[in-house]
Amino acid sequence: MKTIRQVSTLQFTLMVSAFQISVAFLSLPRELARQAGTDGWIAIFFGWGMATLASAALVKVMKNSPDGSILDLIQRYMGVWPSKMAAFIFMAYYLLLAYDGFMIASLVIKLWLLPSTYIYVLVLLLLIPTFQIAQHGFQVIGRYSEIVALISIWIPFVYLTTLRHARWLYLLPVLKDGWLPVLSTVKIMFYPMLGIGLAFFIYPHLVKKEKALTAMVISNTLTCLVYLGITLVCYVYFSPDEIGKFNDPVISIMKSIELQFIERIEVPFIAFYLFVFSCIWIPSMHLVSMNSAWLLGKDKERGHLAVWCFAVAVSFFIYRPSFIDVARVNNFLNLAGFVMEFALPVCVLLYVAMTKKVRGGRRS
Amino acid sequence: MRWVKTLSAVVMGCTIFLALTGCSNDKTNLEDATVPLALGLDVIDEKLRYYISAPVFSRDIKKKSREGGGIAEGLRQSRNQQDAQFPGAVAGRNYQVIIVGKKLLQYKDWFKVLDVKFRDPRNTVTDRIIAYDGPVTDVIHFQAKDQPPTSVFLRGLIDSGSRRSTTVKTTEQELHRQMHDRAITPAISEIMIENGKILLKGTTLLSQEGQYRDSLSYQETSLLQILKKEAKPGVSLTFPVEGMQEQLPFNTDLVSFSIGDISVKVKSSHDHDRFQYHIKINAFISITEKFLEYELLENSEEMASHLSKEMKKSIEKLIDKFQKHKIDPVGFGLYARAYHYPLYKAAQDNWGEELARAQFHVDVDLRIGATGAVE
Repeated sequence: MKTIRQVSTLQFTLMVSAFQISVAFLSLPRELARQAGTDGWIAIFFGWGMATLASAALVKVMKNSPDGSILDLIQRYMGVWPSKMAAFIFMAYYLLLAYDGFMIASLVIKLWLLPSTYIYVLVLLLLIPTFQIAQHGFQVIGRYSEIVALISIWIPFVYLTTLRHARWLYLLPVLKDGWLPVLSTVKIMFYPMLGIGLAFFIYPHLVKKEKALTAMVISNTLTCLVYLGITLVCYVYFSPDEIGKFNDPVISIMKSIELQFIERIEVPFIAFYLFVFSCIWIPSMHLVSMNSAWLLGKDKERGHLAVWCFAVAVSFFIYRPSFIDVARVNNFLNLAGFVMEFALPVCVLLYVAMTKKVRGGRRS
Repeated sequence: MRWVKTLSAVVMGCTIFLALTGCSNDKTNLEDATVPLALGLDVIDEKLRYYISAPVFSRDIKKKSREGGGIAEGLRQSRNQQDAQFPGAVAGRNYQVIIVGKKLLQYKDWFKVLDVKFRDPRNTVTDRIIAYDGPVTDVIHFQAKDQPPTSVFLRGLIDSGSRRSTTVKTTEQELHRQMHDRAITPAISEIMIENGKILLKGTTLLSQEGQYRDSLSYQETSLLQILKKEAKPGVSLTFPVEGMQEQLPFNTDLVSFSIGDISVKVKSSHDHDRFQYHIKINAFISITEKFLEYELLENSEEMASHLSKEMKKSIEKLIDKFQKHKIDPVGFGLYARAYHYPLYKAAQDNWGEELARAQFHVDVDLRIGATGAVE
């Protein structure tokens, strides 16, 4: 495996965080409120805990393969065919994640900004920069994530201005119906935390591999702080009885901001959010091309990426998704993501440990 | 491999070109649009009537706005009808004010008429909601030589009024919140036309379903805003001080003061099978006007306690009014929900009734901080 394109710890941290936040933050406050009312924010802490545990397992697995991705690891421990199967599954999984990102971004733009523009036109426009960035691999994606993080720092401050209308009493009482609604909400926290699986593929590129776990804990914490902030801002602005009625409370809340010179402040925001949204599909498209290149023999990732970008564009031309489809895909991704990024690392870890023991036993 | 690069450049160029032409449909030239700034809703003969007023930008036309209207089943449904009355497509997206006739306020759930404003995100939701007691067409067609277009004028009226707490600043979004939150009932601004002038009248209180309940004067509105903790410093109140009352063209027993720092503490408890509210108001005031002969310097404490008593009386009267109408414009329910959730939850669907049974203990402590530049 080539390791020329190295990724720094900061880039890794931001890549994972941006992947997690990208499109998930739009609907998170609504979903949490629908499930657990104003106590939904507590579930974010559980999400953090689970993601951190999964990250620990992930890093532990990848320690067995410092020079190759998860596919190399599987090939080494299980053989060629299982690794090809894994590549296929990962490819499908990341394709779905990228598709999900494109779907949400294009539908949000269509609803809020350009109601009579076709979705496939928007997706086509988004795919051009995607191709340009994704073809250069993780190092460039990492730099891109750094830039996105840098130019997004001011966003939280804008949300803080809505606190003028805040009613903090909405948050009380904490745990109004006990722990049960909160615990049952934890199940929707997988989808917003998806992204830790990137470590499967970035780990071999890391400069400081010993800091991988620290970086992941930091990125999980960062993500959860963002979620917590945005959720609480929405909760103190919208009354508990109405928040479930808004599809994108994170955007709707901005309509309350009145400036002298601009009437719909959310318009520049959504356009700007495209940077943030893109952090899910750019790494995903890269991984899709990487996995499909693995399936059909290595070293033609760029061609694969072009084909996949084209395929995505065509798919949006043929099939035009709606918000209802998004909800379905999100539901499925919540489950699929749990399997791929939370359960899989643990299973692989157990398998590797067992194999090592058996092999070690034989040798001695 | 050079042909690959050329080909990809050509393909990319074509896609960008196609995409740009795709976006070109998605714009409206200002010349082709009519932008109504005021929306009026009323009921005549049990049918929903809408009125819109759009500014006209032309130097040759004396009248600065053009009005339209008609019978509608829904705002969006009536769009073709609106288009028929104006040159250019009517984009009902930038309303500054929505005037609601009192007749419409007799109907339950009239707020649902405004559904399109929330459903189509291109619409603004910061337009002020204003109640008017009378035919809304009078307000929409109101013309005065010394007044900017009615829509802009009304918005200014509400904004400056709410800054002084003589009316509430209820935007559409805020009304959405007050309508849906079961722990609070809505309050919107109210205007009237008197002697050929549009005037701010105070506040209209609505029930949970949006039906008209009662109106508040300026001073009552100020007290409501104080109770809601939304009063900004500078609220001006006037109370009578018992004493001599001479027959002069102005009332001599009135003392006016403006409130500086104000702290409002609301404590809730549940006792004797009903909610108990303890409201404690502490404020520094400065006397701004007094006519009667009264040694303020020596008797300032007496004056303060007198004004406190009067203010307490007014607040109690105001709360009595709320209880009589079974409404909760202050949002006492928020405290009940926050601190007595199980009890509140049992009563949340009939919170107005529950609040009518509640007991209030008001405590006002005013301190005179300044008496002005003259004795």
